Amino acid sequence: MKHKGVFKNILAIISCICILFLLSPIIALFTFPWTQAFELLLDSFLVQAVIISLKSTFTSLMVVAAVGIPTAYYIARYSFKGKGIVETIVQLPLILPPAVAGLLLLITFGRNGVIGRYLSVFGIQIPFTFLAVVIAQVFVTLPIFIQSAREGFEKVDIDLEKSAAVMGASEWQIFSNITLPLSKNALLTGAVLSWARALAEFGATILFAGNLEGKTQTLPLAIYTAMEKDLNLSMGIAVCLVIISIFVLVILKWITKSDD
Amino acid sequence: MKKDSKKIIKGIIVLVIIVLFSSWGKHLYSKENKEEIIVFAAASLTESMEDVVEEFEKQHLNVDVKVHLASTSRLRMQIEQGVEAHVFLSANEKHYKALSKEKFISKGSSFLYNSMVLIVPEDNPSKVQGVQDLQKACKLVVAQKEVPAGIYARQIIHSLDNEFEAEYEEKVLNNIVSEENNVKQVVNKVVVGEADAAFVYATDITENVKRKVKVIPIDEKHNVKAVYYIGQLKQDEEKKYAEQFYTYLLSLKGQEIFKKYGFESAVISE
Repeated sequence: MKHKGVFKNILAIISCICILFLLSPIIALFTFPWTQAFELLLDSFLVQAVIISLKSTFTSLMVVAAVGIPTAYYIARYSFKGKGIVETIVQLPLILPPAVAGLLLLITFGRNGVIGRYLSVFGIQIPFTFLAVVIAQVFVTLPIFIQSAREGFEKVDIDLEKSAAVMGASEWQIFSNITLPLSKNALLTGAVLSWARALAEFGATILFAGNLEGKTQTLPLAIYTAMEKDLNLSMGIAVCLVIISIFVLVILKWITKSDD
Repeated sequence: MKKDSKKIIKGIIVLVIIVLFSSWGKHLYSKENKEEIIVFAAASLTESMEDVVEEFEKQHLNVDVKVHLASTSRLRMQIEQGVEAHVFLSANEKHYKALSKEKFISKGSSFLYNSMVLIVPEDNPSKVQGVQDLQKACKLVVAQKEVPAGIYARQIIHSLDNEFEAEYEEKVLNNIVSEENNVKQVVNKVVVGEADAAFVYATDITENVKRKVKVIPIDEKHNVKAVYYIGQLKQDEEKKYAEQFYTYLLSLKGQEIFKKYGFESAVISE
């Protein structure tokens, strides 16, 4: 009995330290005198960054879902040659430092890039465009989504799928009527994690897409840019970013809760 | 067999950790005896500072000079936020004067002169032959508005506005596709061939850069005379070696090194 109490208390103490550590920067952020930059915040500078961030992250989310769900399902339910390699490739962007990812994207899709040079012939030049922002986000978030989706698919009781097959359902019907609905939470979680990662994306974006207000300057880029002028301004934008993120997390909690 | 290989791998990992920690330990010990000077230097001083520090450390074996390179505006902001630094090298007067007014600087002086050039990738995709060509559609990259290199670039574009007709400045500014955080990032965008043109310092044309870009000089009439400033930052306790480093940078020997990289001396001799 005594031992039980001690162990539990130690766990509680360590958890407290952990939580305080994670909470402290957030508290610091809100106690910083960022309101001094309020008038600057109402500047179009912030509004444009919010629009670019929201537009790009939702676009990339749609792309990631459209490409990620089929890929995750393929990896989860089918066996094929070279599956091990494919699994590794899909996880690669996760361990790549974002700046390195940006550099690689540049030398691949830049106008002199391995692939980019062919696109250039058709007049398609990706760096410095909104498309580049989306591509950078898609590149770093695909592994996150695929991982979550794949786990969700694998958790679906394969017996249910088998019975449906026995009853004559096609592969598409099995997927859309059984697997997909049953893995909804995993897909939603993956979507939110991807979206959050896309929102925070900085290194790859600034190298590949550049930094231009109203075109490629996302919120993280705006924060970094503001650091050349005024720390208060940076903090103010950071507060906006945190508020938007909390908002989305709350919505997610509400969606997944209402389903249980 | 499997058990053995696992053991071997574990053994290797332990060995690596021991080696890492021992050399780290050695490193720590050797640094402990050294005096540390923290220098905040504008990004455009990247190459020259390497040489200067090497020379200074050769003459002062017990001093370790740590150079933080970033845009002048960012360095200024960090100093204002209380980050520890001993010597500040600014690429323009504005940021230096601001820190001076805010009482961060104990003593300072004008330091170096620099000027700007226009660069294009070696294959010149937008066929930019001179500043007049910046009016037509092209991808221009400059540094941000607060960064000295960005201020100077805009100054030059503004100055050129009088020379050409029909809203030269407006057209050129519209061609800006990215505003980089420091001048080295601007150089990079041209070196990798993504930018069609960019305004950078004459001193940024290093051996490596020269091979990848074409340099277009800017008429003296419109070019800027960038004045770099050096400031010694107020400390709680006396930093003897920081003073010596400050003096060294202003000395003939120190200035010679900067001249090698294309800077001109702005030191006002007494």
